[in-house]
Amino acid sequence: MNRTSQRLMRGWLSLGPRFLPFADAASREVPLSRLLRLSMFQLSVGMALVLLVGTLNRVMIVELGVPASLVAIMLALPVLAAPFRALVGFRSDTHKSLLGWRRVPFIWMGTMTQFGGLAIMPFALLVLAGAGESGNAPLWIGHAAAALAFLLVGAGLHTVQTVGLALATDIAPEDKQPQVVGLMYVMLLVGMVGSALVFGWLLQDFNPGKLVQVIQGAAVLTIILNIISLWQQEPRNPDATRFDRRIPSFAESWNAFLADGPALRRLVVLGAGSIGFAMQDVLLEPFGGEVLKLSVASTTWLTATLAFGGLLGFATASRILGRGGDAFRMAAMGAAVGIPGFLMIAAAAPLFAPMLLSAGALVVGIGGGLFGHGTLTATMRHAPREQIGMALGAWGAVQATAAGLGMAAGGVMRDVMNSAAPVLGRATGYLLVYGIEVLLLLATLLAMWPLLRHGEPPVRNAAPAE
Amino acid sequence: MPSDPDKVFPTGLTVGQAEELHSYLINGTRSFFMISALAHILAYILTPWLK
Amino acid sequence: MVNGKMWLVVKPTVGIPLFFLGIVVASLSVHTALLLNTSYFPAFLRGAAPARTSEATPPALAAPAAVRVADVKAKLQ
Repeated sequence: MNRTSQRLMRGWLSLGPRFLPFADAASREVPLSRLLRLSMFQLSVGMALVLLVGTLNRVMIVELGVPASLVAIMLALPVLAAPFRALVGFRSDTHKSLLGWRRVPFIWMGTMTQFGGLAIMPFALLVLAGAGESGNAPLWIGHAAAALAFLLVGAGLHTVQTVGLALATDIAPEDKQPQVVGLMYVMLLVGMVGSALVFGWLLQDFNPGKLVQVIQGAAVLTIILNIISLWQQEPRNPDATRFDRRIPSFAESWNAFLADGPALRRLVVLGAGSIGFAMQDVLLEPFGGEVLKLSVASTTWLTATLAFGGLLGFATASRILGRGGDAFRMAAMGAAVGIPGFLMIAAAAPLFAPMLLSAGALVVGIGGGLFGHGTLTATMRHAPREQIGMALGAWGAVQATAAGLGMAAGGVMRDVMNSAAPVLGRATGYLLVYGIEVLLLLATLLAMWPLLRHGEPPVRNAAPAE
Repeated sequence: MPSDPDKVFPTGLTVGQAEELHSYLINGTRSFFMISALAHILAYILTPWLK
Repeated sequence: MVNGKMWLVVKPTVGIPLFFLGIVVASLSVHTALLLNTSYFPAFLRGAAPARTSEATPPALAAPAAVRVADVKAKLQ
């Protein structure tokens, strides 16, 4: 039995690199199955993100009739929790434990927080909408409960993702980091796309009971996935979590982190690039529908193309970086690829060329994949051994905040421009956003330039980059 | 109770480690019950058990 | 913690799953009992609302609550 499973594993490993771009993320110490299992926390994170940004957004406005401004405020709450990722990572780095655990307790409490938010979410939303008897209750109960639910989900998913990525950095050998990053991104994408489809299907004929079942099902699934993901992953190392070691303050630690070379510049680049790629995300489908008059099916296809481009980007980055390529060059390439992508999307409007739009979406997807993969891999590679949690927390804080702000800004700018000065018809607002994205990506490239020139020394056993 | 804090018991844990593990477990369980209480209050506000 | 020392004799790899299982079974059995022995619980799950304010829940909409992946890809991190 054991022999067979071992042989099976070896078979998988030899098959892996050829058929699965991410399967060679395994090494002798940490087998493939374990890394795959660890990356399952990304499924629950992706599921929570889909609920927040997609499903609940729509359900609250359409089915529950909550005012759009209130919905916008509620959906902004999880983004408010994002900057605290650096702090969470720091606390995890400096955790005191006799057991020798510093990641498990945080992922565990983060899981419970996310579960808690999802568990009260459906009731909170129904009370917020004044369904059933809740019209008799004071108004603030609904507001407070919904705000609490969104904050809990946000805090939980940010904690789980930050500390989970830190744990992955801890246990994956350095030369396998690019593949681990690829695996993490793919799992996140699978979690988001899969749960978007499942939620959409389950909520086809909406009723309050179904909402409760679906969201609480997601809550239970969160716990199950995260426990499976976490079980026996973190090696116990009581020496690293001794009670009598010196614990720096957060400010001290943060300053030391920023003093290490161009750390601040890396974060600025990450923020600018993330906003650049995020602004278009909620606009792609309405752009296709409103300006190019595509059907719902075609615009859904656009989104699928974008996601597929992201997959291509992750796969390419995993391959090249796995051979020792420079992670920041990869991120720069992502930004550089994104620029023509956005130009293609923008040009599709005057030329009325849906094919060009699809191609642009694919290119933007690839660019975003390369950029995200490159920056995360670079973060892992540069993270000081004692500050892994904080380094990944800083990455996540900047990335998630920038993405949230960018998404909101994209929608607002389109609406304001289209109502204030629609000089080019309905396309005006979209073109403005795409123009700003191109500028942001150009700025990202410029800011990156010094990082590339005196960039890191080539990683050991480096093949010539690309 | 043994006085040696470094004594390793059959499960491979010392007393301090066992207490720590238990505290994580109990904290998680406490938050579970607090959350479920809150969810039941909200559910009652919504539909007072459908009277 | 009062019972913390039990992990000195119970292996955590066995005890923790049992502990979780206990909580799951307890919660599920209460709800199942409610589901089987009352009329309001199944009714609620089937979409009933209290008669007085049933207009608060609109009938099923024609458009499915489909989620646009784009909305979500934005948060890709």
